[in-house]
Amino acid sequence: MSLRYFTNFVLSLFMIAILVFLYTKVQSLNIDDHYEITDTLRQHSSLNFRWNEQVLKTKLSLSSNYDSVTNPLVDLRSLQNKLNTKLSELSVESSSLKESVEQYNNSIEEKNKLIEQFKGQNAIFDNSLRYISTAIEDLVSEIDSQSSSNTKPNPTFLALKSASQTLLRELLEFNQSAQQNLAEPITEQLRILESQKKSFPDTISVKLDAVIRHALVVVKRKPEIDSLLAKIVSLPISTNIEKIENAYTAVYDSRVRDKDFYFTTLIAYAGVLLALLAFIGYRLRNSYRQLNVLNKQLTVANETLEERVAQRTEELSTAYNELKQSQAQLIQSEKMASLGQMVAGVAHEINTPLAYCHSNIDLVKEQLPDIITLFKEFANFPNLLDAPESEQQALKEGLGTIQEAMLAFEKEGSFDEMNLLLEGSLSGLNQISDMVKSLKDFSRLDQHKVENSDLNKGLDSVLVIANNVLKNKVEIIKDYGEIPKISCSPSQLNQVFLNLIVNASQAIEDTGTITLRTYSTNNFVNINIEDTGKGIPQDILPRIFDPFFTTKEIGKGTGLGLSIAYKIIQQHGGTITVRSEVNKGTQFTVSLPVNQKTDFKNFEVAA
Amino acid sequence: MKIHKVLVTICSFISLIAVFTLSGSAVVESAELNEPIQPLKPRQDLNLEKVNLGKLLFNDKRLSGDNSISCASCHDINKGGVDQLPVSKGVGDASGLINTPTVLNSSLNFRQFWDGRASSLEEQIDGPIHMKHEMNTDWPSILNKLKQDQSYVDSFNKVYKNGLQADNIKDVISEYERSLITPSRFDRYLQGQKDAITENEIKGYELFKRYGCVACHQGVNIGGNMYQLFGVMGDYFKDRGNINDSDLGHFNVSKNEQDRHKFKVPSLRNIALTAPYFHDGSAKTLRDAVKIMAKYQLGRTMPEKDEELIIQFLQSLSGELPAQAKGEKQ
Repeated sequence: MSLRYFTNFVLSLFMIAILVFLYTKVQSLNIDDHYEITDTLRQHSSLNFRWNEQVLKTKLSLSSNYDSVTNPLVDLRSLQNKLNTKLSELSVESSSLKESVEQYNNSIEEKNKLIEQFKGQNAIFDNSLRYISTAIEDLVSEIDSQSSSNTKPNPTFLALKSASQTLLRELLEFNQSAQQNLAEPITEQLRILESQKKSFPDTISVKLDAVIRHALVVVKRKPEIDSLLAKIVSLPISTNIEKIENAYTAVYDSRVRDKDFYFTTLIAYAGVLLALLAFIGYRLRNSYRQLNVLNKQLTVANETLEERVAQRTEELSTAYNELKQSQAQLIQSEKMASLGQMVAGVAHEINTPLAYCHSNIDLVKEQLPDIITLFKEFANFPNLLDAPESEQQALKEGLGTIQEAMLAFEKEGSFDEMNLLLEGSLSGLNQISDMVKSLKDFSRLDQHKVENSDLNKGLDSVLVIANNVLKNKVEIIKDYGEIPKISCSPSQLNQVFLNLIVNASQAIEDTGTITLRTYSTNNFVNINIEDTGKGIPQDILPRIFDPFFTTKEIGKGTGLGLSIAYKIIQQHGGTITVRSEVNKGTQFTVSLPVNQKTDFKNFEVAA
Repeated sequence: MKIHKVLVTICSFISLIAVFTLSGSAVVESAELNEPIQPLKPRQDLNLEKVNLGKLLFNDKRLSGDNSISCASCHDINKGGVDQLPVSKGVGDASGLINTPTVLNSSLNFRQFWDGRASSLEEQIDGPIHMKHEMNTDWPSILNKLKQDQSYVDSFNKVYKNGLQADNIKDVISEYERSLITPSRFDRYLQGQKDAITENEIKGYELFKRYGCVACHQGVNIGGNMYQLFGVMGDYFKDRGNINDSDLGHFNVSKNEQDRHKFKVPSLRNIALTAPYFHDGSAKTLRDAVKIMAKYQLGRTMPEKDEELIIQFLQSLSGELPAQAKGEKQ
């Protein structure tokens, strides 16, 4: 189970990882970066243009200082850094981009070098160009002052004057023109002036020297500056920027394509995930539905549970009642069984005195006609006395008959015999009467009745009832002590004693003795019933009070006798203990409290 | 043929620009455009924390190998940003190879050093730090020393995420140097205060322009925005003799024959304070320097009267340091 959870966990983690991967791939294309790069490239273009513009302005002397030519480089450097940083990552992917950036950077370096050259050259050139007219003016005024001091104009001075003025014009023309071929004649002219220099006075020669040197600067530097400018302008800056742009666009486009691909994949993947989610949702809903059904069933079951419990309780209590009833029936039947057992003996006991009563009375009845005859003679005797003598005969006869009859009685001893018989019959009837009384004592139905009962008497009545079982087999030894009367249900206790005594006699196989002992100890009355029977084996001894436990054959015993005895004693607040030794005998001791407060209503079960 | 085409293009371009310039925006800017020298304005965008930290480090002798000199040892901002010696003294009194350029307004130079080998102030610092005859040390040693100083560590941690680092030390020192801007009376004159300089100084400025000094010494820093050959109109080095490596100038950097003896045109701001002059410190006075410049750069002789006026003008270029940049010298 945990393995399954783990697998599910790893699987979901994997799916999320794919999602995150696709998402980052889609996000990896930063549109702001793209705009910034294209914007930076545009700035490069415009800055380069402005730089060129400043250079040309300087060339035109429209700008009188070089800060404007120098400073664009600072801005360009920071732009370059920005661009290099932005593109460095992409340059790894695209060699053409890397190459074009390198080319551009190189061209900027080249341009910077050229502009540095230009600044230096142009400063000198510009200065000489500015100065040349002043220098020629100075030369001319020097010539004029030299000439004015002489009365006769020196033709060489005049020639120099005109030559220098021509030079100025030519130089200015040269400066304005883009044509290279103008330099040659000026240079030639300057060479001539240089050669003539020494022929002039020092004051003029010094001025001339300055003119020549500055003119040479102009002539020499002009083509150099023009060439520098041409180089600067023809540097493939825009082309290189364009190359960067193209290479970058290629990279960017491929990135966009990648992004589109990943985006499509992401959408598809998200779709799959959604479908999966929907499926799981569907499954979940089904599970919930099933769960709901089960829950409903459970609720219903819960609701009916109480009903069912009540029903079961009722059933149980009915069963319990039935059980109780059947237990009572069982107990009753046990009672009836033991009673039945007794009845045979009792009937026998009654039968014996009844038999001899019967025969005695029969014998007396046999005597009765003689008595009746005697009686009739006597009744007739007075009549004879009254009758005449003649009748004396008859008197005498009658008297003789009476006498005869009476003698017969006397002789036969019939009266003694009759007396004896009747006495015997009376004692027999007394015996029967005792028996009936004992029977009544034993099984009186008024169980609940509690009275002060003498247990010794109870035992005696039990012995009478059990006599049939015991006679000819068991010798009863009574060892009754002085015991107080106790409050109890005598019929129940009698049942216990009968049970114990019958059991004892049954334990005795041939002949033996049963000793009944009663004695009292500290508010307890003890009844000890000891037999010399076969005893109870140790292994079954603990079970003898269990209900339905019997060692007798099936159908011979209920197995309830001792358990009922146990219950009765318990309900009387007493104890019943057993001690037994196999082949020696068993001894049951019942101890009952003298002042017991048992509520005898509980006897119902036992009854 | 091709070059002709290009030239035609240039000409048409030039005329286009001329039309632009003359027609519109130029009117407003004309006052400034017409002056080759532009007024100096103090930087307002500086990080004062960095400036103060930079000032401490600028004056800290632990930046040298034997803790004997600081940046300020050679660039004393109270002496025009220089040591006023022909060549500087490094660690153990080692003699330098070149005259110390001023640190004042150095942020306005297009490149640093006489030969322009450093493109920025930050790059420049690496030079003297490592030079045997200057500070003769390296960044790991400096960092080892400075890291013992808790106040530096704390201050750098406050300003930088990565705390005390070589790059950050360079950054704060450069920031401090950017604050060393010295507007002068002449700048006030340029901004319209006509009585900010004397009449002689105005005359000197006019001569300065007329003689063509301004061809190179122009812009806001009055120089410092181009390389120029030392000896345009005469061979200065041949005349001086005893040529050494330092005399080769930008050639040392570019190895380009055209750059031999080319130097960064120095700023003339505070020029009256920074004698001796030139990369070799050969001109002891301003007058000497003006003479040499007139001779070798302009190819002119200058009357003494003009020299005097130009010198007066140059003296008007001595400026005032902003309050927070003025500082103690260690």
